Amino acid sequence: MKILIAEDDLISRKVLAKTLKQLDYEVLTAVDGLEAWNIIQAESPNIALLDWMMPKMDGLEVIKKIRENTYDHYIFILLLTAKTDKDDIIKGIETGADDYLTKPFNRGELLARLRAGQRIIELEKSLASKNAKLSEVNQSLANINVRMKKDLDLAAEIQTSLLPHDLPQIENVNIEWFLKACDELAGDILNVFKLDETHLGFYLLDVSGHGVGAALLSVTLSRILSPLTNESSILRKKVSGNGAFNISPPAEVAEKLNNQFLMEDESGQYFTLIYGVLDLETSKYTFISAGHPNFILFRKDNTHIAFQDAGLPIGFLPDAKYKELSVQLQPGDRLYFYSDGINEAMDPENEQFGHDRLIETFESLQNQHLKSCLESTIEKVHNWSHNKVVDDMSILAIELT
Amino acid sequence: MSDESILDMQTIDQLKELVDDDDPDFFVDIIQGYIETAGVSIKELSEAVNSQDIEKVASAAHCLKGSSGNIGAVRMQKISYELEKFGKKDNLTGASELLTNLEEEFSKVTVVLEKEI
Repeated sequence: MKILIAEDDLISRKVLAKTLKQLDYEVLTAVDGLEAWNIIQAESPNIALLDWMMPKMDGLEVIKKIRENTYDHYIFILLLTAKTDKDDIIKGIETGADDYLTKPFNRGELLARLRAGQRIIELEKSLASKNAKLSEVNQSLANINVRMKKDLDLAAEIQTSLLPHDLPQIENVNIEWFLKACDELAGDILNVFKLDETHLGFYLLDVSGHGVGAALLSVTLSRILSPLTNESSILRKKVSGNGAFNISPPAEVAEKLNNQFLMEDESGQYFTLIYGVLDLETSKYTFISAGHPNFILFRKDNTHIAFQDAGLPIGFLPDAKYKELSVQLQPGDRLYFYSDGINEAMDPENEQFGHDRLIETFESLQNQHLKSCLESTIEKVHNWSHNKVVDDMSILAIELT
Repeated sequence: MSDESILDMQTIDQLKELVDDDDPDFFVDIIQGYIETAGVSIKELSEAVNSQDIEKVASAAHCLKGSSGNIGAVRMQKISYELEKFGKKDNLTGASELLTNLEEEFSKVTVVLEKEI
């Protein structure tokens, strides 16, 4: 512990210095205020014992200067004064002295006051080291956060790349879609693809939960539910010889997925899926729904059918069977598939947007182009929820013209 | 008048306790230092009283008060304090009497201190 004694009287200075040296303090001495201030700047002692009346610069002035500056540690100031006037002592402490000692000093009193000073110094030191540790931890948290954000952004980029940006160009079929993740990553995913020259496949799925866990599964599923170029996949089998494919019936696809992604206790993840195949020659649409909210078929004459036959979500029960349904589509038909993030969007009073309101919306927009119909619908849902997105939202729309 | 009232022996003992191997002459140095500086201060005081320099009287008395207190010269300390108080007055009436007292006291203190070393 470094201690400065600033005292112009030789005897007082010597006695103080000797006393403190014997207590193992590292003692610095100054004969006037100016020298004291120079030593403080050069040595930053832990304790400064300052005489009040000194030549060149008095004790009060030195105190003022110490307190105007910042040091890497607290400097405990003990004012030495022959003054017994309370007002002077108050003035000294107000200026920044921590304590005072009247001269001639009593040895016991000096030691007690120095020990009190040391306690304050130790407290300050431990506080400073805790603060340093805290800001270190904060910094490393901030770094981790930056890294995680970068990872999430990259993951989101990968996920976005799996969405159907280049839609199949088919005469008499319009396709539009929308997907918005409530976090960086989505548990919803959808796709549209040609299975062969005469078959269009499309699906929309919603993994339980959202965020990274849901997104990992949705990305995996998007990879699996893809008609690989020239290779067999879950969606179609290559027929040996002629390069043609046998398209897997939607129910078979669902049952295979169910066994492959059977919910395990730990993750508790499952997903709802609507998958179907549109025969482009006959306009027959064959599909399965696995726990998915309904989808809606709007006809040209403004009638609609809401399909509500939802089987079990994929992964719920082993060997679940899925019922395949078919519907004959006609020119002017529109199919709307959507995840529950749409119909369950809540207004500030916690009222859901709901299927009925969604149907009304589609109905009122039936005469608009499919693209603007979808945009207006999304806008309406966003207005309903005041742009508060609490679940992933996705819509896929298919129109026969 | 006994030696004790001239010098507080408890203070002297405490100063002796500060002597250690690092600095065996500490006590002797302090006492000799005191005798020397106090002598200078008294000389300054006497000059200041003669030249009616109130400010200088107060500051020299202040110094002497401090160092006298440190070696336990309690009466020196008291007289110095009385002289220091002239700093707040506008004249030095009575200062030369106090100065004489101080000089007498200092000779006594010197005798006792020299016995100690």
